[in-house]
Amino acid sequence: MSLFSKNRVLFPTDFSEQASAAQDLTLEFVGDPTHLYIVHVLAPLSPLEPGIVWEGMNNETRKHNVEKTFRTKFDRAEYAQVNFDVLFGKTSKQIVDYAKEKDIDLIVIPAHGQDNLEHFILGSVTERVVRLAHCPVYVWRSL
Amino acid sequence: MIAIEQIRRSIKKIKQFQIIKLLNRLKLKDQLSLALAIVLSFTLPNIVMAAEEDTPGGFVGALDSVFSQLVDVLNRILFFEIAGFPLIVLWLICGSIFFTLRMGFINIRGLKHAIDIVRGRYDDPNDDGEVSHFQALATALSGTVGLGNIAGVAIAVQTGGPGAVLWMTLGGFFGMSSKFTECSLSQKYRRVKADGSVAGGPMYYIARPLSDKGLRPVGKGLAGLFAILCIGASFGGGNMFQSNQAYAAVSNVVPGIPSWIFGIVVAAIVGIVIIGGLSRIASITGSLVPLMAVVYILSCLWIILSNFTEIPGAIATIFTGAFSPQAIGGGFLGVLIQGIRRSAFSNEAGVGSAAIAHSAARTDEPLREGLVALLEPLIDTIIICNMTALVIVITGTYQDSSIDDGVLLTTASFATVAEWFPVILAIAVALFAFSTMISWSYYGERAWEYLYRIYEASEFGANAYLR
Repeated sequence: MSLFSKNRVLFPTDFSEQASAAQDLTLEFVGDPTHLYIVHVLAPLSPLEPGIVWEGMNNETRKHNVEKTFRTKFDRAEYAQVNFDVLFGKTSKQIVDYAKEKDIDLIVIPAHGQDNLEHFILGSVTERVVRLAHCPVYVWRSL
Repeated sequence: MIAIEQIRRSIKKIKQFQIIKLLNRLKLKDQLSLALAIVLSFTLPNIVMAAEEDTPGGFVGALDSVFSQLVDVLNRILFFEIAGFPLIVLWLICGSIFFTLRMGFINIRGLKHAIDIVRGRYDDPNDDGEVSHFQALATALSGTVGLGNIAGVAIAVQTGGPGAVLWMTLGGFFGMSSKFTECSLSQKYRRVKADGSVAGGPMYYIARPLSDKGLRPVGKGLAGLFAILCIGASFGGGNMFQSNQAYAAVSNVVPGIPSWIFGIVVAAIVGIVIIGGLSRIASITGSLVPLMAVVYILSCLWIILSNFTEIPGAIATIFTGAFSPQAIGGGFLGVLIQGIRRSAFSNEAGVGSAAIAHSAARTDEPLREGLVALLEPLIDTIIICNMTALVIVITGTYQDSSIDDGVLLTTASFATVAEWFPVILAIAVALFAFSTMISWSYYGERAWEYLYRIYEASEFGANAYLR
């Protein structure tokens, strides 16, 4: 038995540069891209958002945009086989629930932030994931 | 005076203990709390003093006097006078004239192109953004076309005389260039998230370029200040003034509604949209506003044309009033200031709020949305405000000192044609007020989001920007 299982690894991304760097290393660590699960969590948009008011946006189009973003940003061959999902709701809860549902062995989560505020806030999501996850959580510190 | 003394003392202290170094080490959250503490230390002495005064009317009276004191402090800072000109008015007019000259009268040159863009000739569904040019304009117009056009103009004529109308129109004319500039910047410095939603507005176009120039703390500070003031405006001009004047207009045609019931009903409907998430109501009002604006303009035209013999006289009154004013409102300068203030209040040019809505337009060419935005002061001030003004001046109701201020003056002018005519006005007022409240709630929400990035669910994920 090893400290970190590589069978089903979950990596939540926010598409920031730090997250992308950590993501590449995670893929390298996992080896088999089919064992890597990458998710992006979306918050509900405000009912006053012009895109919602004028019905130019909904969860379908948002999901489609995120998937497009992922496939264009990471167009290397290995990434084609990675499991990518878009989730809606409260970030930490969605990550934890998804991990349980997909029977994830390890969550790799980047705790970064360019300014203090982001650092503080992202930290609290990470903290909740660490506290609530059913499996080991590897917190990636890039600063 | 107390506030000034306090600032002086705190500056001394900072120098003594070199707190600045410490401040830089604080987390942004702590810096924000500190800023809040400083703001409170400004206002608290006044609030406390207000509480000590005799406040008839119990709780409401106390609340009223607390707000009056708060407003008084802001008033002293923002309307600080330079050679008789309030700082803020001087700033707005100098800015708008500068932009007009610097951009080579873009407000005239760009008109035709702007109309073509709104008609959708350049729409590309593959561009970043949430809504079309027309929809962005309609959203912003919902925010600008409000009681400022109906009650604000009446206030300008009452306090500054008919001459204020000319200066208001000129304010709108030069304001078109300010609007062009701020909305182009808003597009240029907006942020696009992975899901295609957009975040833009003065917070971003202040913070990002300054940060690029190595002035990150200054940029963040100014952007934060804008966000705080924007939240304040969303409460005051964006909501309170609207519902206050809407009540005045509605209770005039349907007498006997208690003000507090009207207030609760309005608050509930707005609440259903912004808290309950019924964005359908927002989209219905959004599309009703242009229609209602047309109805309002036609009603005004009816009044104007049914007094068509008075038109030359009214225009002459406006022009002579603009240059040789009677004693009302503190002479020439008073008239000028009134006109420009009401113009800015109505069309928001130079205020930055509409730039938040315009940043959502789908385009890859920032200047394109800027051009669309310059139509706003044209429609809002040069067309709609002038309609109200002509109606008031032509019917001569402004000379009747027995009529109360604001929207009631416009109502009285409407009543000169037919007894039922103020009903149209009341419907228009209610709709304009409601749509303005919705739009301003959105601006306030955006400013709040910038300050705290507080949407719990979006802490991790949706807040990262793609571009």
